[in-house]
Amino acid sequence: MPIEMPENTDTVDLTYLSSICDNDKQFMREMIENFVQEMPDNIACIAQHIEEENWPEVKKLTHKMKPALQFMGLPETLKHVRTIEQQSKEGENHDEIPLLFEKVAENIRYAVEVLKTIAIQQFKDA
Amino acid sequence: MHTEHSVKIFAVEDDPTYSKFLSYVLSLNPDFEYQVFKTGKECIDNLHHRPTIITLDYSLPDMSGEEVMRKIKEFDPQIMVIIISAQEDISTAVQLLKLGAYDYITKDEETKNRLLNTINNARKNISLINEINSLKQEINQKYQFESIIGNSPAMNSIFGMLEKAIKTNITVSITGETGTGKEVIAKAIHYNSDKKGKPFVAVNIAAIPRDLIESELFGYEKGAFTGAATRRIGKFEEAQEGTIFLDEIGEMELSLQAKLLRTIQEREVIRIGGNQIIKLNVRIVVATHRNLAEEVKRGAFREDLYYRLLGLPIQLPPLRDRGNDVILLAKFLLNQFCAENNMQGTLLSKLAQEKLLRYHYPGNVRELKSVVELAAVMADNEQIEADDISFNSIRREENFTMEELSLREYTFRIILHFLGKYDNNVLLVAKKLKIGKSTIYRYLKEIEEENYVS
Repeated sequence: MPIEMPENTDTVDLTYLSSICDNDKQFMREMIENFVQEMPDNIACIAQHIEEENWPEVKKLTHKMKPALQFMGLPETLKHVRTIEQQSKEGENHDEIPLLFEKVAENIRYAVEVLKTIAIQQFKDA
Repeated sequence: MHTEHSVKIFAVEDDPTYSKFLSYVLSLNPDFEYQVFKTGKECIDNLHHRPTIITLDYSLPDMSGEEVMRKIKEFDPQIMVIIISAQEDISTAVQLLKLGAYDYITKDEETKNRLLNTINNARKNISLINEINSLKQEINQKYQFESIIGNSPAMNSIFGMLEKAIKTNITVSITGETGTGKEVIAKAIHYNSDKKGKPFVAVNIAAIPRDLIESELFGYEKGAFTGAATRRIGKFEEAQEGTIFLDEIGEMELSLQAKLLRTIQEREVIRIGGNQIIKLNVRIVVATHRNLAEEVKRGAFREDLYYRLLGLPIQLPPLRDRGNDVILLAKFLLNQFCAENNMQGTLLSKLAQEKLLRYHYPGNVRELKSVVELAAVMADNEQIEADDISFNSIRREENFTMEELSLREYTFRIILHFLGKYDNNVLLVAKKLKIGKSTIYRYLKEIEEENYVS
């Protein structure tokens, strides 16, 4: 079932990815496939750690996620993830994290679907 | 394929997306021979493959980047570690750089270019380090005792003294005629002692203008005098932990001798215009061609400084007292000259060797070097003949007896000298020497028969 585009979300933008590889289609396709494959699991993991209030793990996983969001051109989502990473530090107020993460998860789920379509349509021969 | 220019790189990154990106960036340069590892442990287990550069993600699943870096540096401090992290915290970067990271790159839009630049800079650095190491090795080799040529009794006693000199940090005073190799001996002491990895600083007291020598030796603070725009460290400080070689110490002015005495006694310097005391750990080697004891008697050299500097005295023998060393040295210098000038190896004929042995070398080894080099250039074939050798010592005409010849050889030489001077006019030469012309003809016949060459 197709996912509806969330409000105020990023639109996938592959300009940066394309620029670092001189539009190497095969590399781009591999990077997209990686994102599509890894991200749903990452999201599920982080969600669970938030549920368990395991903040060091939340910090670690959000930290790891940042470059992938940059490659896929999702600056708004990246901004939220940075905030979550920052707020997961010891001694910080963690209250805003669940809501913020819900937004991140929604954006990423949508981006994954968009990227699946892009991978099929634009890079099928790569 | 491993080529001369290739560089082995390990990339340690657990995130699959980012490790794909790193692989891509590293694949752009065919000179990069790279391997990607997911954990710190995997990287450490493979260090025996001798990577030159390691890019390291700061947060790995099994251990922190800091810990991995420590282990890498323990294994080989020369490996250049480039930290790549999404951590923008500047204090983390500073801390890692302090621990010895070569560079710190954040995962952002500039990562690709920065990484490639950093690797290229690291490679330049490595090639410079390699060059420095090989030059250091070359110098070490050059000043090994084995490379000091000579097995005459005079030199053997010098080798005995050198062995003693290297065991302690005792001050060494080297005396000897000009050209006997005082600096070579000073370097040999340094490069065979436990100070060999540290600087060897040579200062020729006679070669530095009187007004500058104090600031050269002791350094100065900014503003110490007109023109002192910046602080400058002196030769003593430059030689810290190593050896300072003060050549031609006999030429030092009395006023400066007092300051040198204080420096040596207290083992400390104060820069001109400064008041900070800098403790010194420097081995001192001095040399002079003068007789310092005589200079003390003359009042030109301070007695207290003389005793301070005397330490272990090494008196280098003049070349004329070194017997067959002349031939050993000549062959060594000849080979060196031929190698430097891409010339075919040249040999010394027996007569040429005899001619070399007969000469007195007022300029010692330095003179022998120029004689041999000129002979190598003059030789028409692969062998240097006696005729190819000419001595140009300025003191040659001063004293005919400086060379050890037989009376008969002196006679030959005198006759040849006069014949040369008077255009082979036998009659005139006979008149000048007050001998009969038949005597001259007889000697000429003998010269020819004995194949005598002057």
